[in-house]
This record gives sequence, C-alpha cells and structure tokens, in this order.
Amino acid sequence: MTARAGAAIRIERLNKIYGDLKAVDDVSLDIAAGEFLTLLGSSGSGKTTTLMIVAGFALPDSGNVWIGDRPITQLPPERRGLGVVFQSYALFPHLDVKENIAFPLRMRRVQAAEIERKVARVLELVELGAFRDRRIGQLSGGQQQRVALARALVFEPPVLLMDEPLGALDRKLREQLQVEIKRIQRDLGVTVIYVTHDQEEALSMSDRIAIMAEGRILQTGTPDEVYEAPHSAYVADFLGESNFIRGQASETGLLARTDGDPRCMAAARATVAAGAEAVGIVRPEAIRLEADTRGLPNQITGEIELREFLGADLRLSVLTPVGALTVRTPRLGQHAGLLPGARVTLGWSAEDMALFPADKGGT
Amino acid sequence: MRNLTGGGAWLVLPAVLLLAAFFLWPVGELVARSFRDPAGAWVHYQRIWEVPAYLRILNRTLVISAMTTVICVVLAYPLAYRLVTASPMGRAVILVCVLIPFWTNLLVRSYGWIIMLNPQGVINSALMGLGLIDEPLRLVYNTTGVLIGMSQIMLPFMILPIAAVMARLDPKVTHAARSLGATPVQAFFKVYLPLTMPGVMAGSVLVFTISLGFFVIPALLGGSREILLAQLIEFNINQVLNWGLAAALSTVLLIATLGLYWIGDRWFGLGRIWGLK
Repeated sequence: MTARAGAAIRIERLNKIYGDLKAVDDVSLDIAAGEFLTLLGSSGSGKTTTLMIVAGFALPDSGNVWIGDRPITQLPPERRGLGVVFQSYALFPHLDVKENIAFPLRMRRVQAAEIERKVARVLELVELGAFRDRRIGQLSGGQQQRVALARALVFEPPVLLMDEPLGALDRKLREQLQVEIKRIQRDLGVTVIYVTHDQEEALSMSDRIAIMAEGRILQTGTPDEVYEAPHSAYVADFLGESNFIRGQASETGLLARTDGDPRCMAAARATVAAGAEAVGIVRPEAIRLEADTRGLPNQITGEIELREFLGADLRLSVLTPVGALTVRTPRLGQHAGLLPGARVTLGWSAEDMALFPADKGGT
Repeated sequence: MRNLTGGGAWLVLPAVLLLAAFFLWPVGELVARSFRDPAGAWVHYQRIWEVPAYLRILNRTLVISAMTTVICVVLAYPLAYRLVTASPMGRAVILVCVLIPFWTNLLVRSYGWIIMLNPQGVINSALMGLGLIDEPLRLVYNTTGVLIGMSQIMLPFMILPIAAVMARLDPKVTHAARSLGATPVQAFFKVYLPLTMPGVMAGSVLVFTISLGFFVIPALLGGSREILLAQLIEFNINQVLNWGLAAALSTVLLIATLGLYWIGDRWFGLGRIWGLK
C-alpha cells in the first residue's frame, strides 16, 4: 500500500431524531486530514449514530457531511469510498481471508493481478500473511479484527470509520491492537473516526477526542486537554476517576459541606458564581499524602476505609468530613502504614481542584 | 441436573417404547413384506422397474415435488426476509398469517381450494367478470391444482428454516458489503444470498421429501389420470389388494426420503435448523 494522505472531514450541524429521542443533536466537527478523532460516550450518547450517518447507513434529518470538499450526505454508502470496521467485524463467513479482503477490489473491477498484489501487501501490513487461505471461522477474534481492518484498508480509502472495533476482545489483545491500529493509521496517513465507550482507549489512541452525551458533543480537545481541563462535571466524571466535593462556591474556592461547619477550600478554575451550589472535582492522583501535603492549601484528615492493590499504584478510599475520597498513589516509596483503619492527612493544590455548577449532569 | 434426572435415560423411555411399538415395528414389517412374495424377494421391485406406468408415476412425483419446492423457495424467501426484519408486531402478524393455515385441517383447506379454483369458483368468476378471460381456467383436478395446494401447505416448512438462518446472520454483513463498494443488488447476490443459502437448502430438502409422500392434496386437487406415488400405494392397498407391491413402493419412498434427509443433514445442516445440534 502506498502511503497516501487522508482526507479532511467536515460534519456540519447534524440532527437525527428517532421517535421522540434526539439521537444526534446539532453535532458539528472539523477533522483534519490524517487526524485520529475519537467519539467517546456511553451507550445512547449518539456516537454510533453519528458514525453511521458519516458511513451512509443513516440519513440525517438535517445537516451535512463533507469529505474534503465533496459533499456526501446524500450518497449511498457504496459511493462514499470510506473504509468501515464494525464492532462485530461483519466478515463474510462464506469467503476465505483473501476473498474477504479482495471483496472491495472485485466490486471496483480491479484486475486479478493487481488484486493479488494488493491483498498480499495489506495482509503483510496486518501481519496475517500466513492466514490468507483460512476460513473466517478458523480465526481467533483478534485475527478476525485484523481481517476486517485489512478489508477496510485494501482499497486505500481516505477515511477509516471504526465502530467499537476492539469491544469484543480481551484486555491484553485490545491493548496490542490499539498500538497496531495507531501504527497503521500513522503509516498510511488515513483519517480515522473512532467510536468507543472505553475512555482509556480514547485517551491512548486519539489525536483529539469528542465527548458525547445525549446526542450532543460536550467537549472536544486533545486527550490532555479534556483530561486536564474538563468543561463540565460530567466530562470530569466520565474521563478517568474523580472525587466530587459538594458545597457552595465562595470568592476563593469552595465552602465544602461537612457534618458540622463548612470547610473552606481553595480552587483555581471556577465557572460558578460565588454563593451558588457547586461541586469541586479532584483527580485521585492529584491528592498527596502525609508529609507531601506540607504547604498545600487544601488539607484534610480521614480514616482509610479500603486499600486496593493495583500493581504500580495503590488506591485508597479515605473517609473524611467532606465524604469518601479516592486517592491514587504510587506504591513505591510509600510507607507501610497505609492500611485500613489508619488515619492519614490528605492534601491538594488549588490548581488541582476545579469547580462546576452542582446541578449539571452526571453527578 | 444430572442428579435430578439420574442421567435422564428413563425420561425418553415412554417415547421410545411408543415409537418402537407403533412406528418402527410396523415400518420394519412393511419393508419385510415387500420382499416376502412367494415368487421371489425382488419380484415387486422388478415390476416397478419394468412397468412404464410405475416409472412414469415415480417420475411425475419427483417432478411435482421439485416444482412445489421451487415455488415455495420463490414465495418463502422474501416472506422470510420480511419476517426477520419486521417489528415485533409485524413479525407476529406475518407468523399468524403463515401458521393459521398450517393449523387448519388439511381436508378443510383442500375443499377450500376446490371452492376457490373450480371453473365456477371465486377466482374464475372474478377473472371472467373483469373480462380478463373468456372461458374458465383449468385450475383444479390437474397438476396446477396439486401445485397450488401443495405449495400453500409446504410454505411454512420453507419459511421457518430460511428465517432461522436469516435471523442468525449478522445484519451488519450487508452494511459491510455496501461500505466496501457493493450496490444493494450486488450485496444481495454476493453476500446475503450465499449466506442464507443453507436455509434455502434445508427448507428445500424438507419440502421435497414431504411432498414425495403427499396423498391428500393430489387425491383431492389432482386429476384422476395424473396420480402420484402415494395414490398408487393407496390404490394397491385398497383397490387391488396387492399389499406386496404397495409395500415395495412404500420402501422406495422410504429410502428416497431417508436418503434426502441424510443429504440435508450432512451437507445443509438440517439438524441445526431444528436446534438438534
């Protein structure tokens, strides 16, 4: 396969209503040529419907899709020329591996010798050379996934659409294929729209992530941006783990609710007017322990309730006056006293706590 | 479960006894009788082979069964597709429409067809009333009548295996074909049809084998001169009392049926359609 640049995709104000459900609600996206963009959301968030509109299997009620400068909204799927990888792979069980991969080339009436050559090259790309004559039923899940990928790439589409392609695989294989898909995408320069509900997958593979809920895009940004600076409590909750501390916004931060008097906490990023109900969000890995808390503006003591061993990290659940807080800390270098029942001091900086209005979704 | 049923063998005992006493033994006796003629074991089979009329009837039976099968495939395939793609409500409606005739008594249905198809019947009156034809079409008491009646009765046996295969098929395969550049027609012929062919083959084997031994429909809707194998057997038992020949003809039918079923099971997964494997 020759490396050839992918095409830019422009999605403009898509709407799709099923019955009284707004499956896709005013979705717009600009995806650069060669970019790897992930639509991330839970089931029913509209991510798959959006992808199916781009693929041509669903017509939007309004809005448009362009590939490069070509409008494709009204084209049937076979005339869009996009590679699609389905969650179920949707391989053709009556054909062997090479005929599955040759299918799009046969549809395009490519010469036999050329088909032979292209199939061989793409099989090499997905490292399945030895399996060209196998039946689909004789392949493992991971191998089937590679055949699906090869079949979607063999006709050199400028855009690859992937709908939860690794959803059916076990963790180890999934991680291995994530790396491989990423490598192939970079080598070919193809533009990818990738749909997943798996936030780790989204964070590790994407150039940019669009987080969706209830048919809308809540936030778009690089993995670092959306993780570091979520625009809403929902996004913060959805991406990675978060601690939620409830209370009232003040001039300098949060008056956190406790059983007794509210506690004053410092927060850097606030989108809430002073006096309003608010929730402060702190990542578990941003919370320091014991001696490391010295000098931090937010400090609180509590009792360790749970201690989970995660390999490289420890995860502690600590009961504090503002509620149970989850702390994630490297296992190495920690003293042995972090056991259930022990009292610890927790602390975090103002920069590591973001304030959001308390009434907004997901909390 | 094992402990509850103690292995479970005794659960099937009543059915096995019943089957042995009232099915296997009589059928065995029938087959044995076909070889028990004083003139020689093979005398009846020799006669079947040598008398042209018998071979003609055998041939006609095969042809009518094959035509019934083809008509059923053509009618059942789109219907099965609608059945598996319909909403739950639509699916219930289609199933009821398919199965109510199936539950209706065979004789009632056959006489119903006679009422519909005879020269003064509803269909001929309607066509003549509309001026489409000048004289009544011969729709019953001939091969046409047999094919109409048999196709209707066999339709569920074709629809259900095809629908079972269609329902198991990943609906995304046609999407995949389209995304890879296939037009809807290409996606159907290159992907959907080949993948649902096992259902068509299973249904065909089923319809063909049942049609081979069908008696009531050909007897009521067929012509008196164009009889089929089952009628020939009945004729030999009730009219000429040549039980030996009837037994031989039945054995031929039995072997043909078992042979076809074996082919269906071996190559087209008939057993899977019934959920046995």
